[in-house]
Amino acid sequence: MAETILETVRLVRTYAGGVQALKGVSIQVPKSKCTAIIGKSGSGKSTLMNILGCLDAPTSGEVFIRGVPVDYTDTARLIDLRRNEIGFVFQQFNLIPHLSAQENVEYPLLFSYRPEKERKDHASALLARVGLEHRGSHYPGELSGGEQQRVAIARALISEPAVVLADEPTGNLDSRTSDDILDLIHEINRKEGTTFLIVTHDADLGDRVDHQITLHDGGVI
Amino acid sequence: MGQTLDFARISGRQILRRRARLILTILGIAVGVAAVVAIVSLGEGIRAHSIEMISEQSDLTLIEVTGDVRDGAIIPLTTAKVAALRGITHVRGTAPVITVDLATPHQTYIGAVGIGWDDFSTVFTPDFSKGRGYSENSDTAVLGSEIAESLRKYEGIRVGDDLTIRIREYDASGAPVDTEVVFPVAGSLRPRGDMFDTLLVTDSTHLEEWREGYGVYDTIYLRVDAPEHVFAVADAVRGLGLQAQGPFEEIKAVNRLMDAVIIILSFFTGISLIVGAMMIINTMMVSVYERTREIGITMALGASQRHVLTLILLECLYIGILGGIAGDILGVLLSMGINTLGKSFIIEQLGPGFAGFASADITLVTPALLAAGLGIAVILSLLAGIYPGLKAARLNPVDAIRRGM
Ligand SMILES: Nc1ncnc2c1ncn2[C@@H]1O[C@H](COP(=O)(O)OP(=O)(O)O)[C@@H](O)[C@H]1O
Ligand SMILES: [Mg+2]
Repeated sequence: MAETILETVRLVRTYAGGVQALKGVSIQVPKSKCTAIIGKSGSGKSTLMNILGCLDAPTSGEVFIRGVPVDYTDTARLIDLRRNEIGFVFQQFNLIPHLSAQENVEYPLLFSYRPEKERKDHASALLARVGLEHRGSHYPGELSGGEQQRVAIARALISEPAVVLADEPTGNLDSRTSDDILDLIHEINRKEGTTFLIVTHDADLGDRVDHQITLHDGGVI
Repeated sequence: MGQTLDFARISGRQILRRRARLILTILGIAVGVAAVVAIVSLGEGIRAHSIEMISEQSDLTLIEVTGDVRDGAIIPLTTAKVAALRGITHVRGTAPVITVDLATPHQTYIGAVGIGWDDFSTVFTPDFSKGRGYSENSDTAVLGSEIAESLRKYEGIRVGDDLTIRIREYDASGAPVDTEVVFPVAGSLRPRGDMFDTLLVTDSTHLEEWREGYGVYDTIYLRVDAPEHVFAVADAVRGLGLQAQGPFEEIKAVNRLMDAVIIILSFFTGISLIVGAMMIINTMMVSVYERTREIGITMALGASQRHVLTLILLECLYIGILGGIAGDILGVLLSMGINTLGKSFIIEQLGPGFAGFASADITLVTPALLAAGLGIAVILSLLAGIYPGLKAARLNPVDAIRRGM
């Protein structure tokens, strides 16, 4: 069994309206593996991802990143975790529209005060890594959905996070492009050893994931 | 530092996304700044003209020092005070004087002042229409232009003649005793437009015995090296417990009046600045609302609340700088307009003969005024950015990403 990089213990999240989106979820995400979370709409997948991504706090339960418990009351620490340990890939790509592809990839490093040269070199290398070395100066509006998602993946990788959280990364893509994106994730995971946690309802993941967690109605089955 | 530049670049891009809106917002603040700049330039112009007029008509570097009464005690003008006054920096000359009222046997009354010749020369630079100055420790005298004229007319006394003065004193029994003293008239002064026109000036030792007053001197005149140092010297004089007066005080009065006028006028024009600031608040609120998702993403990618606030405030800083510059430019144009209109108004009112009078500018735009215009725009814009900025910084990233447009 591989080392666990991310772990939750009896995670509960009750929303203000009384909806219990997570009802004691305990999962383990192994390092350098690609883990998938599947489940129907409304089963709590996004809620779980937001808590793991330190964007939202659990009502009870614990999260460990690299074995260290996350203190959800320590705002500065949460920002630090988002900046350094978490990479996000969203369903809607969510690139900054007035920044070029290259600048979008660099963007997270702006908040960790990295020197410009380092940012630029790193971002160029990552753009090449996702096959967009010639599109760096293009703006999101000029890129196809698949290309935008590649830029978003490069952006998620730039701070060399402990884990990349991808919430339905192919949800807005046609099936062929989805396949390409999943291939790319798989390849990065294999070659670079980056840990991925992917939410998807793609039945067709095949052997591109190492490990699969199914959520149903706020619980793991 | 590099990071500040990166933030500045990102914010710059952000405001350039909506150019029409940016321009309107900038104009909003610029109009307010322009109104203030134009109004204040008019006030400053009037101030400058008034001061110039005072300067032309009066002797700004002259200070008249008299004894003061402090806590019931009289502080007399002594030789020690003269020495102290001479020690003040920027004092070029001191002229301690005594004053005596004299009369001729024909009942022409003459005010006489006693001043050492050297002091009289340095402080008052006499200019003779006839004759020359009196000498130290002598009984010769010089006459002011007006008194010289009346003595010539009514008593036939000219430069080179002897002026006889009758001094009346009273003996122990109260009976008047008249003595006659002779002042040979060494010269007469050109008209000066000051008190010396009606005075007789001679060495002080000669007048000493008829003087009635306290202290050694009645007044000490100071000559300051330049008009800009007068206020400081006057303060130093007051520091010695003495009174300082002079034509320079008119400038103080004008300044005080114009300060009040300018403050009141800028207050009313400043109201348009509030409108401009509210426009910025509105623009930034809309902008934050439109960018809700983007802000959420930025936070998810590791930006702190402070980073978000900084980005928003930087946008306001740009609006402020651009609005300030545009406002200064508009203000200068407006002030030029006031000049042109104002001049033709003056010529119309006073006739073409006064065209020369209107050649000078009515308004005065100083670099300090332009800097203030820019500063006001920047400060207002930053203040206007605080609320939208905090609103953005306090967004919940999950909500912002999901709800965002
Ligand atoms: N902010 C919220 N406030 C109230 N209820 C919410 C909120 N977000 C999600 N929920 C509810 O929580 C449940 C799980 O939602 P979510 O985690 O988005 O599921 P999934 O991503 O698997 O579709 C749903 O019933 C949803 O309506
Ligand atoms: Mg979801």
